[in-house]
Amino acid sequence: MSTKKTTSITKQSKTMLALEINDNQTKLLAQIPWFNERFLLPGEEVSNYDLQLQLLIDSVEAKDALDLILVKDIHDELREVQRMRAIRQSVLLRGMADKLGSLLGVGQSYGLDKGSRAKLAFLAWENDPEGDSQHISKLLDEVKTTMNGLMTEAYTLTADTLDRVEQQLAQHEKNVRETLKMIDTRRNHALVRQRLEFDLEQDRQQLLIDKNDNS
Amino acid sequence: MTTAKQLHANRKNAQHSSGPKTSEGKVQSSINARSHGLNQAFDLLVSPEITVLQTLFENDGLSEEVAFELAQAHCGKARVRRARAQAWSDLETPFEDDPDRSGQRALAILDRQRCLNRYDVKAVSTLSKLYKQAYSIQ
Repeated sequence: MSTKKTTSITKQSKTMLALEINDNQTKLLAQIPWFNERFLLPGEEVSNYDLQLQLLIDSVEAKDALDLILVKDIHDELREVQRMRAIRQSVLLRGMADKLGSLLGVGQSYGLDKGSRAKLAFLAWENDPEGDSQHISKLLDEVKTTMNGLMTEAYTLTADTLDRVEQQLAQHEKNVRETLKMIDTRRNHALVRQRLEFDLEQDRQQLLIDKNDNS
Repeated sequence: MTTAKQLHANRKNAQHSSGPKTSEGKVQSSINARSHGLNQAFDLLVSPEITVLQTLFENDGLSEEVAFELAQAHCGKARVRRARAQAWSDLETPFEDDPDRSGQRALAILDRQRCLNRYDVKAVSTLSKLYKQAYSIQ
């Protein structure tokens, strides 16, 4: 019998959403378990999740509980996009380190020998992209290649994985666009309904005025 | 060609392996084909949030039937989201420092996530279609 692993997703109740919705809607939202879950991975912070969600709520100008549910969906999709981008960067950097390692003559069947110069140089650069990349430049000079050349080689080496990452990215980005359309559809409908009610009210008042004039 | 004797023997032997006998075995067998439950119908007792969502949609001016369909579709999407999160967390440390393993880990993540894509596509397209129908401007 297969046993399910215990999930390490952080699930905590929402505490800091600042939205002007009525008490009834707030009570109803509190009863939706998945709305009150934050799907976080180890290393991801609750405060960052909440802050990003709040910024999104502000920028989309969510007005009610249903808007909020859709915005939360968008937020979770965007986090998947961020994770996929992190994987893409990681795969590419590993590919570059791998290629550089093999050019330096210390490459192994997969990845790099622990302690190799290429691996250390790329790890340092990955941890601090803004920092000094002179170690890598030195190694590139040693094997007489350029960063662009190395990147091209890495793309070729990791093309299959990168292609899969791109497919996942496209999937999540499409979901974001579709969910934004749902918000728009609801808003347009509300606007048209308001406009129709306004027109009907005007017609009714005009009718009353006409009636009074006639009498 | 199977003879009548062989056919009889086959049928007789088949009776010896005709499914689980114990109650434990029967329970296990009943969930054999279930790996994630993403295709399962919703049970209002297990997912009471459907009623809550239905109320929200009804308060937004939708009919009971349409509100119920939209509520179900939202819960379907949430179910896929949870499965995606589970797929990530099953891999414990998605971004590993060890380059020897990080490539394999990345592939494992992508495979697990890719398996869920068709459920995601279905959930989002259902939601999208229902929103268009429910909030159509006539």
